[in-house]
Amino acid sequence: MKGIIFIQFTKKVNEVWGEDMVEDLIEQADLDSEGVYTSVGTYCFREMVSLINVLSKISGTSPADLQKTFGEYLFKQLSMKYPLFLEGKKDLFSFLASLENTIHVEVKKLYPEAELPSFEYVFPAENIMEMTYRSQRPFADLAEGLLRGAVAHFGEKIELSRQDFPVEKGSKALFRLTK
Amino acid sequence: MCVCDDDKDRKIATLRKRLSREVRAREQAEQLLESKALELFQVNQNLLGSIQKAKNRSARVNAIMNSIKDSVVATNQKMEILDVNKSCVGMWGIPYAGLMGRSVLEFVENRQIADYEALCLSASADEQDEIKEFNFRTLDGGFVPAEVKISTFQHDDERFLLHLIRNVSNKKRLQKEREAMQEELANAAKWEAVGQLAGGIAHEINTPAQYIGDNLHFLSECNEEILEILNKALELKKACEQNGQYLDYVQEIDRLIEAYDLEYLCEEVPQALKQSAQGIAQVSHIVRAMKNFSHPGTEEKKPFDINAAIDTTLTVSRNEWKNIATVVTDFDEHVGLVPCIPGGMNQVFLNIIVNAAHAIDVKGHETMGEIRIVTRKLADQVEIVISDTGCGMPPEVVKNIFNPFFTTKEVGRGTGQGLAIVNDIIVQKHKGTIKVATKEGKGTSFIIRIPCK
Ligand code: HEM
Ligand SMILES: Nc1ncnc2c1ncn2[C@@H]1O[C@H](COP(=O)(O)OP(=O)(O)OP(=O)(O)O)[C@@H](O)[C@H]1O
Ligand SMILES: [Mg+2]
Repeated sequence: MKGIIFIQFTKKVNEVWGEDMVEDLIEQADLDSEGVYTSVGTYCFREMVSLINVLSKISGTSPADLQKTFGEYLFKQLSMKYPLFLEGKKDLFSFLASLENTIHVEVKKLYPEAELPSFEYVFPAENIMEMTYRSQRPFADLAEGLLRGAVAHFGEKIELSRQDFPVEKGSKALFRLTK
Repeated sequence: MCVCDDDKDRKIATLRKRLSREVRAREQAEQLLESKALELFQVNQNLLGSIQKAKNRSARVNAIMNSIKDSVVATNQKMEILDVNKSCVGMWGIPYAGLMGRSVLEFVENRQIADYEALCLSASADEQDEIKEFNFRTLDGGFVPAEVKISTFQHDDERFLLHLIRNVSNKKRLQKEREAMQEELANAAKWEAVGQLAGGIAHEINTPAQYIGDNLHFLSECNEEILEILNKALELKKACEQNGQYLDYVQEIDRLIEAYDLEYLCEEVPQALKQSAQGIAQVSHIVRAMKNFSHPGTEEKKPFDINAAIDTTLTVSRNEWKNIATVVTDFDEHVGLVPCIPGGMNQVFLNIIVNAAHAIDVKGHETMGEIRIVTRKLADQVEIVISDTGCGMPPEVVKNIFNPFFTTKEVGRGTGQGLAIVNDIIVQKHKGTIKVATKEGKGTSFIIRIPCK
């Protein structure tokens, strides 16, 4: 996982719980990197899992909720860092539809070590979009948070429902967005 | 130590930790940056290499394309020209840039455009490759015949056509020349057969002509003697008449003299005999000429009487010139015998004399033209000048006359071989020279020189 995600994460923790919480997290999470992150570096995604689990224990918020909140925040940060991916996207659906074949493709070009999820799209009706998230890593909740961030960004009235699928490794979830 | 000191210490400890993390993060980032920079440098290096290779390759492909003697044209499916090689620029006479974007069909002769499109379609359908012939427009308004083969290729999701265009005008010219050569050879064979036949007939005629001539000579002599006797007899008759003797004989003779018109007989019989002798002499002359002509056989040089040979040729070719020209000859008796290939020299004189007759004919002949043949003995050469008062030649004709197949005459009258053969015989076979002097509308002279030894 790219350092930028960790840096955004510690930034968010710093904002909500203060700098001591960051220190406690790093100490308790027993990280290979010892919490030393640069945004262009690459680190094992398990460090993110540990950080979230420790934060959950200390704060009493479930890991799932933490991922979702962080996802919403992360989207805002990413959209500010990479405004070109939002350029010319009139609505949420067309933006999301470009994720698999454009945005994450460009990310992969920029950072060849990036580990990205895959998405499949189905449009059962004009006002409905179904996105199936599939990853080798357990970040379906982060995906939901990012999605909610995107919905907020476009300011559209969207109903979001989610269905999880059991998989041997990583995670899989279907998100259904209805206008 | 108070609480706030504790607090302060903790804060400092936290800041220290954070600082050490930030320092390590910076070091990490610098390391990353350096290794990325190195990676970038290597990638860049490889890229430069690849670009150079690609450049070399494309230069090579260009050189290959430009070395192809056939025209190569790449078009899209709308037939718009995208690229051509050097040969194509040469064939159409339009610079490279001027060809880009134009339709190939612009260069195809109008009535063939539909066929050309059909060929492109069948190539696009990948049907078996066909070669078809088309006429292509050139800048000077003419056409070049060319064989066309079309193939297709795919590039960047688009289909293109490759037109391979082979100029066949040279091939066609050679083909024509070959055909003319064959015709010439066939003609030569025919003439040889005719010559042999004529030689045989000449031989058959020669013997009787010989004794007809001899007999006529004998008859004229006899006739003179008979006339002498007759004159004496007439004197006798006159004497009898005066003396009144044998008057009934005298009367009978006078009646016969009157009936047969003796005076006429005495005048005409020698005349008739003389004319017959001349006639048969001419027959013998022609027959001998035919024999000379029909035995060109050897390619070897022999002592050759040039003056006599010209005479012979004039006799043989009389039919060509007798109605349009008079022939004047001025032979130098010192010419003597010159080493020549007899058949070859006869052919030289015949070709030039026939050309002269044609030239006079072309000019028109309200008045008779003239063919003048002069021979001269020079230091170690013999010069033969054959002049005519024919049409003459413009410079662009003169410079071509010795080329095989060059002719200004209509089909059937000339094959353009005559002077090429003359040139070969004089220059190659006899190590002589041939020059031409001509003035349009006035006439032409051929000046031949042959070494005496
Ligand atoms: C401007 C738009 C976006 C940008 C620039 C972006 C970029 C990135 C980057 C840099 C990563 C990290 C890859 C790594 O850790 O190796 C990532 C991961 C991820 N992205 Fe995006 N992303 C965008 C939008 C979204 C949206 C709208 C979703 C919502 C579904 C999404 C879902 C994810 C998830 C779930 C991951 C975590 C990796 C995983 O699940 O395996 N991204 N993205
Ligand atoms: N005496 C001449 N006067 C004018 N033009 C001549 C004369 N001799 C030759 N030419 C020109 O030169 C051309 C070539 O002559 P050449 O004898 O080689 O061929 P040809 O007479 O046309 O055909 P061929 O002799 O084979 O029947 C002629 O067609 C004619 O135009
Ligand atoms: Mg001729």
